[in-house]
Amino acid sequence: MNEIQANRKENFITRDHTYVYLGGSLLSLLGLSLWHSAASPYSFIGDGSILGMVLAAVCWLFLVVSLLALLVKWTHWNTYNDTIMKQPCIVKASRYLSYLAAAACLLLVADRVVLKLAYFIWFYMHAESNPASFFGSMMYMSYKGRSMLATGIWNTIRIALLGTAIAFCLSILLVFLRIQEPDKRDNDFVKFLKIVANKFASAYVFIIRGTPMMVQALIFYYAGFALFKKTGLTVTEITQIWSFFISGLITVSLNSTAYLAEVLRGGIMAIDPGQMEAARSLGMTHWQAMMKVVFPQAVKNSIPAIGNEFIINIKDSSVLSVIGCSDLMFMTKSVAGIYYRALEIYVVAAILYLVLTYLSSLLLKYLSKKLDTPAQGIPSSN
Amino acid sequence: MDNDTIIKIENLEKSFGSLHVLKGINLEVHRGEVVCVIGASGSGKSTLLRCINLLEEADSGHIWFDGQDLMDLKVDLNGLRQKIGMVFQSFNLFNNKSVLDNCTLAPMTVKKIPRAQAEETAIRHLKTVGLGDFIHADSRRLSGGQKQRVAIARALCMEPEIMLFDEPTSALDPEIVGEVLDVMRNLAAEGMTMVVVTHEMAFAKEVSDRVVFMDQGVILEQGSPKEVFGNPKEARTREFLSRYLEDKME
Repeated sequence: MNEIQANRKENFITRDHTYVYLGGSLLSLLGLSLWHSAASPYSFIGDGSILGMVLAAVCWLFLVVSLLALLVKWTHWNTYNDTIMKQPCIVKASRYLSYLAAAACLLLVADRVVLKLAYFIWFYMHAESNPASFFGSMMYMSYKGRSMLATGIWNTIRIALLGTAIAFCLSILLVFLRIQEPDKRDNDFVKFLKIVANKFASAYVFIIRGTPMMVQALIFYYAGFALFKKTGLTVTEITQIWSFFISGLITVSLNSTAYLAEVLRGGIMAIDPGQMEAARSLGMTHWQAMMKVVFPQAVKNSIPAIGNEFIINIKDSSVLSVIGCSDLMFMTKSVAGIYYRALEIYVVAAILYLVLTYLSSLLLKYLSKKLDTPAQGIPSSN
Repeated sequence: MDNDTIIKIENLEKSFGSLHVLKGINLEVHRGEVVCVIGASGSGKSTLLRCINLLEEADSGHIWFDGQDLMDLKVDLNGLRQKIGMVFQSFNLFNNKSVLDNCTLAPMTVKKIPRAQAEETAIRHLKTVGLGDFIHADSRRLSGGQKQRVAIARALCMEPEIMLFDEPTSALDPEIVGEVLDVMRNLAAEGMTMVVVTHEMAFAKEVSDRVVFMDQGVILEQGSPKEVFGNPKEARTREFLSRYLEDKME
């Protein structure tokens, strides 16, 4: 499909066809309108410069040729194919002329759009005070708050990455507790342990998945604080050990553990029971069969879902700002507070989050391809 | 129970919910014997086989293996299963392992045999099933017949005293049934004790020492292939066999 589309694009550009005049004229018109728009200080095609006039002339020339073709078509509606306009050399010439018009248009776009934008960004970034315009204020605040936003991005990535990694390790433990089922052949103590393990894991998943992460963050933070207080440390010492970042990371880890454990459990359920039976029939214990046969397959199948959890954590770690964990959301709020402008900088934050999740999904798609597992799009929130 | 008997099943009962699958099975298997279990689908053949290595827990009765009662809850289950090889209808090769690793996994993890030695044994068995060239192949890429032969080699690597075959050719194309049956035929010729649940009547007739006909959870008739196929005593056996032969003719 992509190949066909690529071919189509190539054909559109390299072949003589009926849309040469239309396409070229549109580009010429765009070029001319840009030529008549105001130049910026970065402009290399100044108003009244020779280069600019040449480019405009090319555009006009193409428009005139197109108009001529239109007139001939108008007057020779049924015999157009026999006119001079359909001579192979004329057709070819007008196609090459359209390339010139396109090049002129491209140069004008670079000058009057890209460089103008660059100038405005530079201008607003170095403004004396927060500009009144929306775009200007976005640029101004992003630039002034760049180190804060960078710290926020860095912390968000760290929390999402570390949190998902820790959660993955914990979820393996949790899912092993979760899948314990007492067997007729176990002794009573083992049966009891298995029931306790299973119930504990179920309860953990039930509680974590049934409460918002924002509430969990607050509870973990204050509970941790209270615990450290019992050891007799001073508040300054506690905030050094039990920092906002650490408690935020732990919140994300413990939260994701519940979701990933369910992902892994689903992965284990999805493995053909025959795999377990074959392993057991060879004399392997339930544990050995699990570790060597079932679990590796389950984890492999769960890789896309684990990647999704990472992307979800990028987005959902934003609720950690409630405890003051300096993630991207918290830093955005801080910037908004400093400059007394909210909407503009939140739009910036949204764009930054979008870039992060998009890049992550690209990375995961790439990894999935390498590992031969099905990839998925950007997932919805937990 | 004499030394010659490897498996003795007594009054075995098994239900799945309200479905009474095994209704008091009595069966003996002697060392070196090839027993084929035939019967219509749903007659309890596979369940009986799966009860022998406890993939299904029977509700009551006894299964003696080498003098130990498998129904005793204190029996060393994994130790016993090592001696009972099982081949499944759907092969059940470990999807995450190569052909060689499929064969060496259990000897290495269960019997703690060093890798080199386990691989040597595995290669020997893979060669006897005719897969010497596929040792490092991905087990998922093999054909059904090749998969089933790997499964047989995998079971043999544990050096079992008895092999159970649960409809080993039912999932295969008719053209490749033969390659699996050939392997089983050779195994029988080497003196392996085998219990084979099968619909391959020609194979049962040719290879088995004893044919067991099961119907609706009971063993209706058993005897030498000559007796059962040539001169069945029970009307139900005659009906099954004649219908089976008719089907085959079509």
